[in-house]
Amino acid sequence: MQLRLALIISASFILNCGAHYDVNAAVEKLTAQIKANPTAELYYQRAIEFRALRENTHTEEDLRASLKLAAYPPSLEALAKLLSQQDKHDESLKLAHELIRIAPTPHHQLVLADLAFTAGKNELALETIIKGPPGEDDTHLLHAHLLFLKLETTEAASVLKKAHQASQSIVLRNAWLDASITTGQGQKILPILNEEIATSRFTASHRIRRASINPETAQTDLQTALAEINSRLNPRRPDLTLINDRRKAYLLLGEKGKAAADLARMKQSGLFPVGPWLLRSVQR
Amino acid sequence: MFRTLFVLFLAPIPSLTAASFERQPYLQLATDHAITVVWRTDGPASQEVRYGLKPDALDQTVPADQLLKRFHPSLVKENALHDSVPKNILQFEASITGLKSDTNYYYGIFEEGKQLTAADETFRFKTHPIPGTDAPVLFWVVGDSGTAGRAQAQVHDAMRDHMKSIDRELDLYLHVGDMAYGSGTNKEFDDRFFNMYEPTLRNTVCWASMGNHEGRTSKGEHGTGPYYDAYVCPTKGEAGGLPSGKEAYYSFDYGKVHFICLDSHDLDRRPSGAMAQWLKADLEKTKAEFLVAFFHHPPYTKGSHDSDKEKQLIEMREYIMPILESGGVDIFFTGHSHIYERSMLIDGAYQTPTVAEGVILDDGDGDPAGDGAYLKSEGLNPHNGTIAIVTGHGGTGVSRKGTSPIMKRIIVENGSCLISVEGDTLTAEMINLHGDIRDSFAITKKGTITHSVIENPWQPEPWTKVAKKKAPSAPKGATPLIARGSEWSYLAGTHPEGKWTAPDYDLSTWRKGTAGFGYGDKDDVTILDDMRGKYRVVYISHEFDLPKDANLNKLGLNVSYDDAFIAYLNGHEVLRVGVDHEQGPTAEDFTLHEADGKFDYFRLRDVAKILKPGEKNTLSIEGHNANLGSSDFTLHPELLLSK
Repeated sequence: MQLRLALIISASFILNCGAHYDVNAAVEKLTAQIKANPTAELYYQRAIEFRALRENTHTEEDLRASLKLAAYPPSLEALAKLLSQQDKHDESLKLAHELIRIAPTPHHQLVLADLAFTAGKNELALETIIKGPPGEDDTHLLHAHLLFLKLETTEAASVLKKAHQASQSIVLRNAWLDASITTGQGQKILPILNEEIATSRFTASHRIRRASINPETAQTDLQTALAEINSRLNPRRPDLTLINDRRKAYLLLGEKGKAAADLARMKQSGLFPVGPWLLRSVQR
Repeated sequence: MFRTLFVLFLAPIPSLTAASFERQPYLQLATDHAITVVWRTDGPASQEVRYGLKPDALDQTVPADQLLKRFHPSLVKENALHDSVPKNILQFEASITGLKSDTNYYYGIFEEGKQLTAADETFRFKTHPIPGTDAPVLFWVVGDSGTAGRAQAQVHDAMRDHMKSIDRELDLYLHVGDMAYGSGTNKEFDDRFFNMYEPTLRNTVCWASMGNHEGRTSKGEHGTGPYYDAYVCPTKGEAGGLPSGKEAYYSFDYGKVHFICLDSHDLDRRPSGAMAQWLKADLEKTKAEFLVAFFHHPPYTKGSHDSDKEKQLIEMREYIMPILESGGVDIFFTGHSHIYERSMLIDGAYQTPTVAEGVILDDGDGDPAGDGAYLKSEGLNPHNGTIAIVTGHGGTGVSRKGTSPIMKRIIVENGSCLISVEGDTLTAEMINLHGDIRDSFAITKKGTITHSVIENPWQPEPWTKVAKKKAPSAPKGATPLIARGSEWSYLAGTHPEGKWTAPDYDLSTWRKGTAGFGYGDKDDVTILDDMRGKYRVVYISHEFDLPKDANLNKLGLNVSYDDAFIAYLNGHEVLRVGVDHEQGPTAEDFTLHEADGKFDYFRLRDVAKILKPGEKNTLSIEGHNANLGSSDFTLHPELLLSK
């Protein structure tokens, strides 16, 4: 007992001397503080340290302990996200609704929309975004994605175009380029693609876009893109963003088997949202 | 007295009504044609920036009505500061545009025509060269510094002293996060960042990435909080690179070097996330020749944090590193872990736990004076090798909990990194808080270099138990019987035959050398540059005169050593440190010990019967390295007689 106390005291001393920072030492410090005077914020802080250590059970316990003391928004958000990862969507959404009720910010609006989307409740996600205040770039990306799923592609492209004009984010711009292709407006963006191909070091992603709207250069673009992508891949541990590009190239070339293999790789990673629309693309 | 008053009377005195600086002016967002000057006052003020090509001719002005003024959120709706900022604080941001590239300018803050900043050459800035041009760049990299403690100040001073010694100015400064412990509050930023680095910040742009401690009060998703108040980062590709739309991650160019800052703390790190998608696009666009990335959480570390166990670190390795390496990153800097760790040339080390097998392209030390610079192909090339640096030793307590198998150098000292890129070579040095260069390496990019993975790469010595007990220092006024830096007989690379510690042993075939003996840590005189990987033991011997009236209970050995040694007087073992069993070639059970330029004092007990007062005596020592491949070895003894 004395040894443990000494450890806690020494850990606290180190922490208070300016900077720690071993995560375990931080946990010990917070444990001592919680024991002395438990607050919602302290439980939240310890939960975040447990989350860093990927100790999900302790994380959940602390977040629940935090919420017992107060409806602390960071704890609500963290627990809602954790439960969503565990496929406990009903409780996750309930917490996210509570979060919006007590702290209706654009960020919390995105949290609810994102969790609703993950839970497969796309209408709720869309409704949340539409009803909420103007959001961040990520909100616009999700908004457009949800519209795509409803096949409201023109509206999706419009959302992305407006959002890109506001923030100039290249991610929004590229999403808008893809949306324009989907909505049959590819010819309008051809000058942008030509410019990008002329001025970029790696051109595969834009060549794949151009291939989907310009049959004349499609074969050359796709073969060039594939060669470039393959030259950039670490054979044992490939960059999944390039695998995603390669999947698109194979699909346009009609090589569905290879596209399906790349899609399976993405799906296996669990890091890309591989929705039914992508699966259908390789099955058609 | 009268003269002093007279001089004061004539000197230009700032207006008594002028608001004082709450934050001294500092620089942000430099490009090849623009820069931003930021400062804070403790009350309303009508100030302006004047600048020019000479310190005494500030003939251009950014007038008061063109400055961005930021207040407490209770006072304004747009561009408000964080609500923790006191209500009286006013932040000015002056964007100076239309500048010549790669040019030195001088500036000052003025109010009612009076210069509030010192009218000297330290208030200056230099615009970036035009992207793509072949201009040298020298930059400073610091992490985990924000304590306002002595170590932080020493690390800063060591860098400034070094820059003076090479007569060169910094071109820019990267901070890899944790600059304002413990929560990155407004006050912590003032005390632990701006006040500490003020002389550097007034003329050097600090490009920052957010640490977890700043993340307690600042949020990357919406760019709010004291961290985002302090920094003006590019969001629209203003400084080169592609627009990210967020201050949390961005890129900029300096000549032919492309810099990428990522937020490893509080944004989605998955490859499908916006940050990774931006990174991919940015890497595809750049045509720079060198690529430098920086962010807070290290993909590889066994310092105060463990990259095999912690979420953000694992995700940066598994999700972000593949994108960086397929884009051809040359080097990346991180912090978070309070240590200096520098890798070999690696590629594809994404799995958990990190292993060396299959990921090392060059296991040399990269030192042009050692194994030679790391070689890479000209330009940016995917998977052509990367150097990972953890530089989380900028001011906090440093510690280590293991050995990352990809590391070439692991140094548990406070310090920082200075990097230069000139011509086809990037050169890096780690300078500790005392100003010693503790690591240096280079990357040269020339022609076409094809690497293949090294099947059995060199491995850093495993981290086992390390001696932590602080040894006493030598007694004051002690007389050296064998002084530091004395010449000894020594035998290295082979083992002696017979009883080599005996006073009458024939040492005529041994070499002569000046202490200390060793390699690798730059604290030795007789350099044993053939020792690493070849042999572990060095034998040294020295005769000394022992005064007739010497108090034989007051003899002691003061030694700088790494890792262990056994001492003998007149053939008898009298002291054993860091090696538990046996001796010579069969010695075993070592405790690692770093010399760190320090001497530890050991009193020699019960030696009266062994010694011969008034005659010649012999001190013999065998020094041991715990591991054959150890990165350093030191043996530097002095024999002391105290009163």
